[in-house]
Amino acid sequence: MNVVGVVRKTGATADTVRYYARIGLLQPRRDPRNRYKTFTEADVTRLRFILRARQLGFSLRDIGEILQRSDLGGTPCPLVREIIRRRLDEQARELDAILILRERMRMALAKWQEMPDRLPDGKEISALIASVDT
Amino acid sequence: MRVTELARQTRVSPHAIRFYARSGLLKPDKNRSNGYKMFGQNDVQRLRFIRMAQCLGYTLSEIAELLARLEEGDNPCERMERILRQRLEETAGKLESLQRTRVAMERALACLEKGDWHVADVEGLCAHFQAVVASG
Repeated sequence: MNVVGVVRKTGATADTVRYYARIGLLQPRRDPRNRYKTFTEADVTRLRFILRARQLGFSLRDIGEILQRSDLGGTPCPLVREIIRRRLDEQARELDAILILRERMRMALAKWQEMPDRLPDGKEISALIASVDT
Repeated sequence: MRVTELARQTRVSPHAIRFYARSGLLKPDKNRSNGYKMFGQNDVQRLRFIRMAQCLGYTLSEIAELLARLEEGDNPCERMERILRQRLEETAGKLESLQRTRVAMERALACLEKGDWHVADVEGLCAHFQAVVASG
């Protein structure tokens, strides 16, 4: 089937399908007559997996690793477990960074509430600096 | 003063200072005889503001806009506050999606550690992924 066929079966956009083919996650053959990409049912299965894994928070690189392992035969479970542990660690760090930033933003807003006229005389940049110096 | 002196005074790297100058956030004069960038005391102030605003999550283009307003004698405070409030709302959405992903991943990890998933290929994996996402 062609790209349109894959789109119809999976609900992915044509751009997504082409992108995954370009980065090697999908490996369609070229139709020798017209050079169009030709996909098989196996590609559709792969794509369904990719979309699901993206939803779960795996990166494209993670997914590439899992597909590669699976292509070699054998269960991909130990690798998936390892990747999930790594991702959870990263997410914890990301979460911390976001929470710190949120706290900083809240403090700045609270401070601004208390000083309605933050640029009193001559619109000095130093007053502006003082206002963000939380 | 030259880049190195400004860097020393503000503890911002010369590399970053040159980048801000290139992006138009700082506007040094050029020394005619040697072509070096020359910064003034005003740039020390601007640089402090840029760094603090970045710490609060403002993007460089937002900072440029705020500085431009200030230069034109326009009070940028209201705009500053509006951007920050919007950013806070976006943060709430980001936290929520991160939390959702986290719960699904933790559930998947628990299953994997118990050895509940007997899959031979990605098709089998896909079905389990679907289940942990759906039960969220």
